[in-house]
Amino acid sequence: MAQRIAGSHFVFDEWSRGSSALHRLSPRTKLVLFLSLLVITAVWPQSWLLFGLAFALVLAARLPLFGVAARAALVLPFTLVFAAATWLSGDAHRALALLWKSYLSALWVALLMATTPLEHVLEAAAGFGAPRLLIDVMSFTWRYLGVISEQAWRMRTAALARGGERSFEISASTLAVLFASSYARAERIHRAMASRGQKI
Amino acid sequence: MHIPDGFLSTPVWAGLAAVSAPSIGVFARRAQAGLQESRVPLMGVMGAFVFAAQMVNFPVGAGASGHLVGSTLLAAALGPAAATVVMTAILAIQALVFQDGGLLALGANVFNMAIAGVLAGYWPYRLLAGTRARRIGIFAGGFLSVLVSACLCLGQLALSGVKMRAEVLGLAMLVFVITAVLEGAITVAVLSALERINPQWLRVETRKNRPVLTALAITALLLAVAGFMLASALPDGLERVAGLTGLEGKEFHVLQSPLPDYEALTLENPWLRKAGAGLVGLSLTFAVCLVLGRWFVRWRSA
Repeated sequence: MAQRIAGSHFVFDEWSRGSSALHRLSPRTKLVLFLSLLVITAVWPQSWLLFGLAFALVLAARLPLFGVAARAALVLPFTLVFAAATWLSGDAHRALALLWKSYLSALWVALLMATTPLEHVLEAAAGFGAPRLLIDVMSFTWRYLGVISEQAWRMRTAALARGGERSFEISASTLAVLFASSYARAERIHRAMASRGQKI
Repeated sequence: MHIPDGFLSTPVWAGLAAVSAPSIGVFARRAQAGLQESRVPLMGVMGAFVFAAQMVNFPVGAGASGHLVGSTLLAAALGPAAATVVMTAILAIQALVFQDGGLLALGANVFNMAIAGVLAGYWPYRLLAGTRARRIGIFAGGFLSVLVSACLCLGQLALSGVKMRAEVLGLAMLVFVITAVLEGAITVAVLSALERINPQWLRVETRKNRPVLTALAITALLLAVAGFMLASALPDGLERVAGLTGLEGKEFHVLQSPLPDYEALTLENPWLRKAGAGLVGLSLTFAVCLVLGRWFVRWRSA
């Protein structure tokens, strides 16, 4: 499944720059709040109350209701497969619970990310003791995700234009070239940072 | 294979989070200790590379195609500790931004893919790195990394009471084995192509391996995989083993818990005690391995 990582994947970035009360809440508070909501969703019996709360929060944060709901729906393909398998095994109750809980949980995460820029979430996680190295690696990965994905997409388009992804060898050398340029890019980044006096 | 929230029962996700969080701390410290200066940007960019690599399809005929998962490639390029950190970063970003895997289930996903997956991918590679059979090692690494993750994932789902019929489970296993073979083949193809460009990229350990220990580690891994496959294919067998080991008498109904929503709240539930016992066992085993591993590292460097 060749999926292009492009504009729509960065919509959280746009949403999270809002100015509602939920946006202005400190990232640490929000992280704790949404983690608690996730735990409550996990242990609480299904109730419409939580769904109501989620949608009320979306509206309160002045976010597009349909957009956030669609974003959380990304979890459904995986869930549907397992729900179908469970249903076939004769446990309809459990199948429904899977759909319900995974969608509601995805809604909480989407709400967190739609009201908090990723870098603030990462800083909050670091504040709670997540290893600095992991946080730094995540920041770099997030920063260069779009850049390298765009390059991968260009290479894929070029390969298709030349006659398609015909063989293992062609795809493998495409990835090797992508690896090589990513490696060189990392070295350039390091040099650029070092020459500005940063210790990394 | 990214488990979303809502699939795992509370003892399972909480237990695995309690196992994964400190392990990632240890791996991060180890990665930092063995880190050259320019490694942090490199690790980050490699994380982006693994994301992007999923866009490149590998045709397998009949219109189907697969893509790289990347645990073994990362372990070969960065070493196991750094690869674990990078995989964790990828999984966390997938959970937060791409709704691929849950946030509470992140501990489980990190355990399956970043810890067990990377280590299962690294050891065969490392064991056979200096020999003529190194391609076999790379293939086995890619194969095992996917299969171990998949088996752990299925095992955790079963432990959480997600019921699946034997046929469905068999089909899932078949899909996972095919994916694993594909990952092995893709990893071999990509690493060979990388070596043609620059052999220095792939870390070949210069230290002498301890063949006995590595062989033992691989045997243990294979046994774990075989055990999981057997356990998931033959729930009756699991039941019998449970009976033999005296784990809570005759009924071992991990696979059929009636009221999923209330389990986490009622402590007197026998199922919960069993799952809890299992998790405590898992955590203890893990702790023992961790302590033994650290002791071994210290002893070897002394």
